[in-house]
Amino acid sequence: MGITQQARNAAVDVADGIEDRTGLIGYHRWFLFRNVPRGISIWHSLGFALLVVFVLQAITGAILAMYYQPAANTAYESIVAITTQYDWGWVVRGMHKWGASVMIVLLFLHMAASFVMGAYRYPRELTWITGVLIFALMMGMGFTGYLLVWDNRAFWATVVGININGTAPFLGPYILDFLRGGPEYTGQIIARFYAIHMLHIPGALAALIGLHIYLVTRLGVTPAPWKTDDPANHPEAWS
Amino acid sequence: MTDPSKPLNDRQRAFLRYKQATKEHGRPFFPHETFTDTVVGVVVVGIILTLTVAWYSMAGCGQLWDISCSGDQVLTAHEQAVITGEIDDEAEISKVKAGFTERTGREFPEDARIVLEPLYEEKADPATTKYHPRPEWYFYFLFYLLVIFSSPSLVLMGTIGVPTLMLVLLLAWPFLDRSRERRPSRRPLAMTAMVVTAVVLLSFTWLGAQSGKVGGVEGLTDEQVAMPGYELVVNDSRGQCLACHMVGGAGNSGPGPDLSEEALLNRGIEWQIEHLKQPTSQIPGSGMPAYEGVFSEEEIEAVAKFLETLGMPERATDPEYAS
Repeated sequence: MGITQQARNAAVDVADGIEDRTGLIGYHRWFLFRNVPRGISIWHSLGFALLVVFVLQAITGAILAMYYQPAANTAYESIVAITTQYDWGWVVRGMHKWGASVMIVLLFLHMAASFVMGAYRYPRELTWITGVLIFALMMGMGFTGYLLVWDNRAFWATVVGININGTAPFLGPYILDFLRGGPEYTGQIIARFYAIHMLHIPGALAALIGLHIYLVTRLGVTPAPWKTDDPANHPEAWS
Repeated sequence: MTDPSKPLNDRQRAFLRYKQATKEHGRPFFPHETFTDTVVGVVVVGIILTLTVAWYSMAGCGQLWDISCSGDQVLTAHEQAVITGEIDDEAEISKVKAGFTERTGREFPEDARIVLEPLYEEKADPATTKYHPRPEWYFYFLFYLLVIFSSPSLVLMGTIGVPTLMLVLLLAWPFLDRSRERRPSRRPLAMTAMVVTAVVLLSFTWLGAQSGKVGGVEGLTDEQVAMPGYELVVNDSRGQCLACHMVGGAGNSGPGPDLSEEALLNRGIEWQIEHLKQPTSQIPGSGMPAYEGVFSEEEIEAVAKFLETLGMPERATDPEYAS
């Protein structure tokens, strides 16, 4: 047996071992080796583009967290240091900041494309609902992340934003106290927003994105309805 | 199916046909579609990187695509404010420029433009309340809702009502629109709703971004301008009232209401005082910050009296308001 064959057998043994213990290779095959309808276009790549930006945000966010100091007397100074002092700091912060904006644009486009194609119809209602929840949480990420720069613009925009949340019927006063971390606007609000931005929302987002991808894989991609030559778009499926 | 013996309905049969057609006639996800996805992903990352470089070079180094500056050479928040026009006092501008040259040994970049955004503004100072609420651009449409619903009886509708309704509508949409037709040309109602939503979102985002700089206040009498409340409302950096309100054609048309004819609402000085101290005590749902502790008791009273002359300038000579 040649060395190539030996290496191949060894790789298969390792893969079998992993599959035996975790089943992950089966899932991997289920995800990767499947057919998608012929009637798909670049609009169907927006979901993947969003996943790429989410991963980019997670990576740049994790790097920023190593240098950012979430307290009233250090937050702004650490942002200035990240931007001006550390090597490539401005790239990491800039990509995190502009990644957020690009993500919101992509979210709107992805939702619009899904809406136009009727991708929320049976049996994909839950896929749509998880998508809307992801959208709402992303807006929450934008709201909480904006404050962390701790400049005047961000602070006062957040004060107005939190006051607005505080006007909600019944829950308003509790939301108000929860978001600002007490009865007044103090530096405590940074710790509160930092935790929400770093842990609470990303945790929920990761779970929802996982569920969203699972549903898309399980139920298949909706073909563009105007691609009439795609057999998956058979007219019987419409009327 | 949890019960295999149950007959399939039309929708389930149609979905099975889709699955079958995709299996028999579809394209492999890997490597065909994963390649397209990867290309789109790379383009998107490229766009983000380009925005980052444009942002840092313009706001940090003063020249588009120049990323050579670092450390002390990077423009400070104050220097960036000179470039954006946020600081318009000539003496202050000269001082800032001289300071830049002294620190960096370079001329101040006179022709610099910050098209995207500054790197950061001045550090937040909750105590002195330099109030300039500008949300991130993707919240401008919500920001503009406050302008539309600025009437006290409708504030709650703009702050909570409409956004909540929109979110609930989005979540419930698959259950409201249950036909199986997916071709846009045969779904006129859904397509119209989408186009209207898109136009409203885009125009609200645009209008929200337009709340510009504070200009000169017009239409006030000399007596009104002489009132102590005038300075506090128009020029005081703690109040920044005109960041959210208009008075005599100056200021921003939102998120707060136009105050030019505030006196005609007959609210009275006491109401104004209580509202300034704690806005939600008088207008449930108000997003305005409380000015108790920001202004002194005397200053709040002065602002209240000044507001009660807007639209009724003859009151400015009445001892009840002028004192």
